[in-house]
Amino acid sequence: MEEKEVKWQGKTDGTPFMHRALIALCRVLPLEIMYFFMATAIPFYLVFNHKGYISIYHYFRRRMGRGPLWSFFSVCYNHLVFGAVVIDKFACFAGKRFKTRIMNKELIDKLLSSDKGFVMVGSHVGNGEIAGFSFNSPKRINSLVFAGEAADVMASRRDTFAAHNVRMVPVSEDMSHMFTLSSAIRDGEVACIYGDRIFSSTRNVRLPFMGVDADFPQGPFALAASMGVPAISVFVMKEGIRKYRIWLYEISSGGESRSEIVEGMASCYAGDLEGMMRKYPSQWFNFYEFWG
Amino acid sequence: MEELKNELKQKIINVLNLVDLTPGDVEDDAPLFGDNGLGLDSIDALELILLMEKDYGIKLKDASAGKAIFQSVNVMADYIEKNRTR
Repeated sequence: MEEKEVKWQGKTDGTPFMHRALIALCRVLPLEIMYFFMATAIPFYLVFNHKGYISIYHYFRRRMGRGPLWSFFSVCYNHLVFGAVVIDKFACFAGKRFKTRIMNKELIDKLLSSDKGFVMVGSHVGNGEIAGFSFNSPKRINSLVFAGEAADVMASRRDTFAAHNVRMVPVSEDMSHMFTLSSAIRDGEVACIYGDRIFSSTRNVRLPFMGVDADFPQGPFALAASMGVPAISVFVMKEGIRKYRIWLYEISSGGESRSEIVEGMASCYAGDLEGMMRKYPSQWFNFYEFWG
Repeated sequence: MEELKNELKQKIINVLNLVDLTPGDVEDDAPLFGDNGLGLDSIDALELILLMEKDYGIKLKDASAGKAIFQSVNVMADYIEKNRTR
């Protein structure tokens, strides 16, 4: 166990006016045009968001083993895909929908039809928010989100997701989010938490990930293990302009003690995440030095 | 009440695995969360929620009430005394 500073929160860039303008433009313009405008901003991000650029460059160079030039072009493509994913989020706020194909759908169908709650573990890869529109969940999905997100983005999320039975639960210093999540699970609902970001608790598990040890949070796995409910990982990966594929995996673990079970679950999740990054290397959106 | 407070302190130490502490080290009024007290975090909060449920039959549903209950051992013990079903 060790402490780790939260280095990057994943907050949406831009001012409230820009967000509102983006939603308005998404209502009237086709995605292809929006992507084109977005692509013109990428060189500025590459130059002025140097830390983000370097961290993704290191990811391609060291974790994916690509050469310097290939890594540079991979970073450019990664930023392009990330920009497209952000546009897609705002397009969802504007009422547009995407074609999704769910792999291992029987897993989520079984969990959603059961009386028991469960934990859904998301990641900062692909476009997890699309999952909120895709499951037509009869159970309420309680999604733990960074409290520092822009107010207008949060309001758009709340409005858009409320119709899809998704509730936003901001992380709070007074721990009230834990009461909300534990109570939701007790009521047979779903708790959705990121498994690749350490926030709200400094406790983590250090695991081999893509060849080198990295820290993963205990939180989502401790919640499932303590409450005795199943956990699944969810990866929503972009495969075309209006097309996503959702990958679902059961997070299983052996072990005797609670800490062994939590570590086993985190290890299972890290394995699934690694497999996903081998399939979709350009959709890694942790813009900080994940491996320290 | 003193007996309940000591029992609660021992349970907190056990469930949170605070191996360096004894019940005597935990002050009745010290805040459980934050830097000035025991410095517990969200995973500890979850353990305390489950402790209240399993050992005292108290299901904490309301987030705003819950955070008030976990202010200190004193407040927790007082709440347990009034609301326990076990």
